Amino acid sequence: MSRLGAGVLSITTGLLAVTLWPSLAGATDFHVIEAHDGYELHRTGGGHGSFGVGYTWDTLLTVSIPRGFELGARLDVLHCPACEHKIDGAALLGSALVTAWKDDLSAITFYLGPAVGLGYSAETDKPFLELELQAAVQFRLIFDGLWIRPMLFGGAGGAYDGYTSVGLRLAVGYAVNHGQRLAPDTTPPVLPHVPGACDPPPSADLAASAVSWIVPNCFRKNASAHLGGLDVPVSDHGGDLEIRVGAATPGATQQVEIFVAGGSFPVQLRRP
Amino acid sequence: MAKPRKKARNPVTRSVATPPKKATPPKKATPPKKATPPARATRRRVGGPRVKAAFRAAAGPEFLVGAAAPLVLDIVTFNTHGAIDKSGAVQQAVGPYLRAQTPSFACFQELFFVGERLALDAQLMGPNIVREVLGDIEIARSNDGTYSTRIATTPTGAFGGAGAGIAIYTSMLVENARFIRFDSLAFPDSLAVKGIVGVDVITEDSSFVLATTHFNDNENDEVDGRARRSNIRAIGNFLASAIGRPVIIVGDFNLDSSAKNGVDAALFKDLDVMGNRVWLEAGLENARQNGLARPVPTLVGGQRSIDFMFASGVAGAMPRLATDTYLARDPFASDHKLVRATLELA
Repeated sequence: MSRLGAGVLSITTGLLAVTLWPSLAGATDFHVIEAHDGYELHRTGGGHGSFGVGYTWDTLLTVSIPRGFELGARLDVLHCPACEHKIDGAALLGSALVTAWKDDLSAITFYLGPAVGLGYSAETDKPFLELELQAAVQFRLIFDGLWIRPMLFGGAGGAYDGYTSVGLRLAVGYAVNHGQRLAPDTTPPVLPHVPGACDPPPSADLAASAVSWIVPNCFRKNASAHLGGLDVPVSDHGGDLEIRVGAATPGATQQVEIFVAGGSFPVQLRRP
Repeated sequence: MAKPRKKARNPVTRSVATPPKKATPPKKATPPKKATPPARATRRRVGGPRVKAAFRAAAGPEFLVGAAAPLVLDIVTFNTHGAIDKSGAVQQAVGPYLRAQTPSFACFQELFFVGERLALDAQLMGPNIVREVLGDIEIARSNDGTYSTRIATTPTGAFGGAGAGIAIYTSMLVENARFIRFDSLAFPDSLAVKGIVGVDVITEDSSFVLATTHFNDNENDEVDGRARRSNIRAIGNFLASAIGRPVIIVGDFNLDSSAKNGVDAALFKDLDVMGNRVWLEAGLENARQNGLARPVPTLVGGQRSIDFMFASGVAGAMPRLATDTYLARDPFASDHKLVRATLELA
């Protein structure tokens, strides 16, 4: 096999592995459009800014380590206040960040990894190679797709003749495939509602002057009730459960507990 | 390239023998019987400290399938509120009840932290406990408690996080304890390492699988139920180890069986067919038997029923809920009620 063929095969295999790995592992991924703005301080003094746009593929891995990674690409323009042209050049960078601690719906995730890129500076009239080591923390709003990702980074190389630097970059992103709150669906329950079955309501109204409250279809052998934690008499009212709650002060709310079928149903009884 | 997802962590086979309480020698292991049904088809109530299986399985579980008489099992599942209440008050409250009632299996959730587990051990296993850690499983044994064996799990979350919080107490002969960790939502779900722990239960002439679980919290899963759906898939994988045997799975599933629509109703439908098996859920069956429109709530002061007992038979044999045995009334200082029922496995 020629070297060219071996290279193509290697790259194809690698891309296939990267593509299939997370899908085999049951990953959950997000596609995020980002706006970047950063500023870095040079070791030899001074500094410059950069801003741009990028794309990040953020994925969860359902293996122990790593738990997820982010592959990103961004296009920066260089802002150089001391240069002849304030917009002094541009750079294209790719990044690969990993995390050892991430879950499907994590709102906060830490990442670490390198970014490398190529650029051009008009001030020096030179192309340059740039390397960054990034430590990022990602804050996600799962349902709305927004995220903020501050990144601390240390850099080497770059536009201005081999400096080293430290900086802070802020990425504001939007995940186009963010999570959706689902509207209640119409899936029927496993236990269908049976007309005539006992179904104590979570709350009910009963006139303050009434002394009994009737719960339809709920009288059973051994049924009982508590009012405010104390036993109250119950009786069979033609298959309904009659609970002697007594008269109450208008506007009061009482807590009733109905004991039936081995369990109990709490009911908030309002006495208008 | 990374390995495919690993579903089971150290699912090693290990025997957990019931320590001998009396001088009764174990029966000598005999060759597997033919498929001839036993002469008497009476019910066998098993479990409890006085009715312990002395049979020691020498053959694998596959040789022990095929009992004709139904197994009658008194089972408890209880969430101890351990994520919040670390005082031991729940353990102190429920201990005397279980010592007096001695159900065959007492399964727990939210024993998230070691101290909570030890406090319950002290209640149910007496003072002389021997503990052994084997990978993801911690086994406690005792000769002088209500239960002779307790199975729990060892992994814990990062930064002092919780473990799975699940445990099984029994005096029956169990083996092959295993833990399958759920994929997701350790954070912010109490920093827990949630999953399912299961054992093979060996009786004189049969074997079944018993497991307990605690699903991810629905409050952290508001998008579309994906974490709990993933939990259900994990149980499906767990059930692959139970083909041809009855299964009982109990625990806190964090989804409401009384939901009439929405994510919970859809998820419960998935639960109802997990592992492509037919299931009986004790709370639902109790509602059917008693003419209720929905299961009795299992949360204190709430309307939701989220603590379940699922049972599944083999070869079309459906488990039964013994009449008037379902209980979900007493919280023993927890925010969940203790759920208890007697199930009959054919």
